[in-house]
Amino acid sequence: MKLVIIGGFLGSGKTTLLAGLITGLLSWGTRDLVILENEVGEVSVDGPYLRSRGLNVRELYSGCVCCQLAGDLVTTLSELKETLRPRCVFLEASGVARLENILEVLDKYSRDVEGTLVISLADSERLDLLLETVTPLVHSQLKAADIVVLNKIDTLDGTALEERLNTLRGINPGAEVLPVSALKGDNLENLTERVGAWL
Amino acid sequence: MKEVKLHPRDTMTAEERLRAVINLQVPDRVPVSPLIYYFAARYAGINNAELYDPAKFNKALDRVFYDLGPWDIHYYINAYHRELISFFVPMKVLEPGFELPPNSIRQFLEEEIMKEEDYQWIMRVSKLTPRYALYRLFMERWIPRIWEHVGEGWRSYAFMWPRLISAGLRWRLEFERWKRRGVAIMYACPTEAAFDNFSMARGMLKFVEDLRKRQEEIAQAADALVESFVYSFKMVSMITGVKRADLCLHRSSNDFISPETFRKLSLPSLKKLVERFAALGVPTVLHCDGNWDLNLEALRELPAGKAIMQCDGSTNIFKAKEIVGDRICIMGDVPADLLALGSPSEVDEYCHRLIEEVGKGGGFILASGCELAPNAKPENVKVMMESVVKYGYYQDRAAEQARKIA
Repeated sequence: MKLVIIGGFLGSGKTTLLAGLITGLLSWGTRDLVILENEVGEVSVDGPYLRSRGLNVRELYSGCVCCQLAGDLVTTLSELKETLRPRCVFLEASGVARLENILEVLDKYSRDVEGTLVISLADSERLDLLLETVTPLVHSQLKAADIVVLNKIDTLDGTALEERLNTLRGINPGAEVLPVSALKGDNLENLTERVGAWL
Repeated sequence: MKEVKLHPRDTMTAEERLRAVINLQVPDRVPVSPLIYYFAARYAGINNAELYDPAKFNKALDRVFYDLGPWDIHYYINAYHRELISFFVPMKVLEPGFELPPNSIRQFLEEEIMKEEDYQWIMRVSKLTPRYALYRLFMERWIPRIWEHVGEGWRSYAFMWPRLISAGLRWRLEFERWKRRGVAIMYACPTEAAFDNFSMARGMLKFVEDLRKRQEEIAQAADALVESFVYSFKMVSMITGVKRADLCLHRSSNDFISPETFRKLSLPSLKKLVERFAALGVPTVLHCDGNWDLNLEALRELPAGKAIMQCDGSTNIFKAKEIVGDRICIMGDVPADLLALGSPSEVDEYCHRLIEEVGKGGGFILASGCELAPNAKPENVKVMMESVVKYGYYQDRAAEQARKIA
């Protein structure tokens, strides 16, 4: 069982991206996927639609991210492996989650995950503001990523886009940085291909 | 009241022990204090929604205490009325048994409860009614926005008052019950610090904009509320009979803001408030969620021997001891994942290390890192409680030291 973690600050478009990504993977015939949502406050993934396509969508409640998420996640993954035997679980992490904490706990305690792919979203419109005001959180989310997605690129012109891509490459030189508009579907196929190949 | 010793070798009561560690002195042994809520439900075999029933909550907690305890310090306060939680966390909330399945965990929602004009409102009202500004902020602005059924203006007061009084009196009775069995009470009532209140009530998306555009207003409004924080504490303390304050700092850690922002916008009002409490002889429990490694140096500005820093497993607690341990009592930090997924021997080893290193020279409370995970293994919780008896007596450690020297 593999795990894809989708992280990123509140409002960065995680849910839209996840829905687009899953739809793409399903259209390619990828099956046995489970979605775990930890962001109950935002717009929910279209559960009924995805369920009708054979997906399981579950909510992972955690009152206080620091205390409970990671431990619950390990237990939930173990249950999922036993009951549903999915090929891959997609976790939409809370917008204030520190991804490295989740990875650390998975590394220490989970025997059920064969591989983890972390996709972090950066919001084109708010990137500068967030880097200026909630620097540590945004840095930690971006640094933990294997793929950094610069989302909402439809709001940027060419120069601004290049500037932001460079900023992201500077923060996490080891990650692939992909410009995407999850809402309009721009370049989403590229991301779907990467994830599909990894699966 | 009759003095109750929790363990046969104890030479202090739990209250004496707690006071000693806050004063950075060496007690007879390291005290232990778990923060228990959802774990009690799971352990007692009831669902999380049933914890709103005072009889069931207390019965569940008692069962944990007698099976896995004892512990020295009672920490958790049950709001009993869901609307009262808003005084502690001013956010919309989904509750088990209401909006969520009965065995879920409470979820807070990032929505705009505090409007941008509230900063000015706070400053204006603080000038007119300095003692009541905080209370009025909740009653007149935030609570009606969080709970539609509560209503605005006098309706909000009429709705909340009976619930506040009944909960306050129940807390007092519960505290007396804990004291009779020899357990100290940590604080009078949980409260969120001003900066953190603003961050939660504005919602992160709005608050990050404020951090860029409204820094002065944030700082001034936080400062303006100090007087009413003190007065509110006095009122609650009078009802509950406990002279220790609590300030939760859910949004001041380095997980959210930089150390520079902490120093500039969060620390000034926090410091002022801790100093005001200290002048009244009231120590403050700082519930420091998240990673505080880069804020530790700044915490040295708080008055010595007047505060507890509670770490949740994210801060490097050993570094905290090194940097502020000579000024602030350190509390923590057996991590939730260790208690839920680790083995008893791993828990024992970690608690031993905490007691040896962070407990060195006193000024330490062994505790769960924030709330005890609902899925913590009971055998791990028991090991944590027993570790203070096994390794925590200071005279044993002194004897061991002497033996080593000899």
